[in-house]
Amino acid sequence: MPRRDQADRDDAQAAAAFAAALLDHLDALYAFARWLTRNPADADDLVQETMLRGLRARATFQPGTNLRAWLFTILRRTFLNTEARSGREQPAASGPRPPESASQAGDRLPDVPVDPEPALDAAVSRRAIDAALAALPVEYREAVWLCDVEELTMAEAAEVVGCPVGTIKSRVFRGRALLRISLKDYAR
Amino acid sequence: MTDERRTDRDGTLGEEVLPEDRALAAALRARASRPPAPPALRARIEAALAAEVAALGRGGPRRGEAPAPRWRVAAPAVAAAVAGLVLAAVSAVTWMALPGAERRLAADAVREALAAYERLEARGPTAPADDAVELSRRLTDALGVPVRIATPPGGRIRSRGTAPVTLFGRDGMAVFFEADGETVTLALVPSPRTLPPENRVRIGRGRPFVAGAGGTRVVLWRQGPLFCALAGDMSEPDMTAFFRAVRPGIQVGG
Repeated sequence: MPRRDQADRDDAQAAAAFAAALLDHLDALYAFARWLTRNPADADDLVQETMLRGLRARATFQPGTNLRAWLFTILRRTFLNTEARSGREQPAASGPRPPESASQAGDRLPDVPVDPEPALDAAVSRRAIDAALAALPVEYREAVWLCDVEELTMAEAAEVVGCPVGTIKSRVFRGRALLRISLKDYAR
Repeated sequence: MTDERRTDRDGTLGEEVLPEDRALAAALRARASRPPAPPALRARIEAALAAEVAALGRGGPRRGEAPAPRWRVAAPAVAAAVAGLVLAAVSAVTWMALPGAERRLAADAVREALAAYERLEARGPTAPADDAVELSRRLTDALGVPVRIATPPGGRIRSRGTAPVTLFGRDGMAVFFEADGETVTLALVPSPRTLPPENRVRIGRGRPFVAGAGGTRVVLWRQGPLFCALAGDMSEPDMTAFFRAVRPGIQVGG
């Protein structure tokens, strides 16, 4: 019994340290959840559930890898499972319906001209950026969010989304291009 | 021209970042809405994580183990009665698809909510129905946060009174409602407890956890710092309608 007690204490200490590490990423998770759910109450539930699942699944985390990316993966899967069970296909997509795959998306999207201007107009407001992001198909939005805002690598973002790296690259490229067009329209 | 640039960019994306991509990313990081987690959410999550860690320190579920059902540590008589009630009906409950640990957590919460309902039904209200101001004062005193409950319009649903309630070891307050001769109790306790999202159903603007056992239906959800359990002996459509009617009138905080 004493050996078991000591093991319990050791495990509790390790879990406490892991929980503290999880809390370091709370704000990032919440921001991502808000963009996914588009609803503060749902984001609250999603983030709390993600944190608890993360703590319970700590044995599966590989030390030395990106904890935030790992948590994003849990959060996104939890979100998709919830949406699938509630019968809604893509509730978070306030913009056009997302394509089934990146290759299909490529077939459907118009040719996107590249803006040669190197800098984004500094006058573009937060509201304009939020509106442009919200109008993106959800698959592009999450790819851009993970890579450009959260600064995950393409490989990490691919792991979060559960798709090949090439697909993420394509989504980021197309998402950025659509954002540039939207923001240019706002600047006019 | 455009095609050449796109081909070139496709090949380098993720390895070399073009100036316009860098500028766009910087603008997104600087100006896109990234609301921080609200303090109340942070506090609730900290409490929930601390509770999990504390359970480990007390010999609770260890890494990879499912947490022990709370009824194991509850009073044996209550545990036996509640376990019997739930076991008789658990096969009909649709949460069997949940992972083991979460199924136990969900079953644990449903058991406690059912047991609380049984106790409340047996005892009845301990304080009479009052006007909304007095009800709000009583709830706020008991729960430690401002709570207001407006009786649904139409007069079909009315409050019968209140009684103290205990859920998950936390003391709170229950409100008795009556509609068409049926009694429904709404138990409110301050608790960071959350429930797996898989078994929740969208009802109006909420997504509560709905379960049933032996003819009793429970609807569980969290509202701000409170855990809420609506329970009654009625069909699921009736219970859903009740939730739809009562939930918008509940205001927690501020």
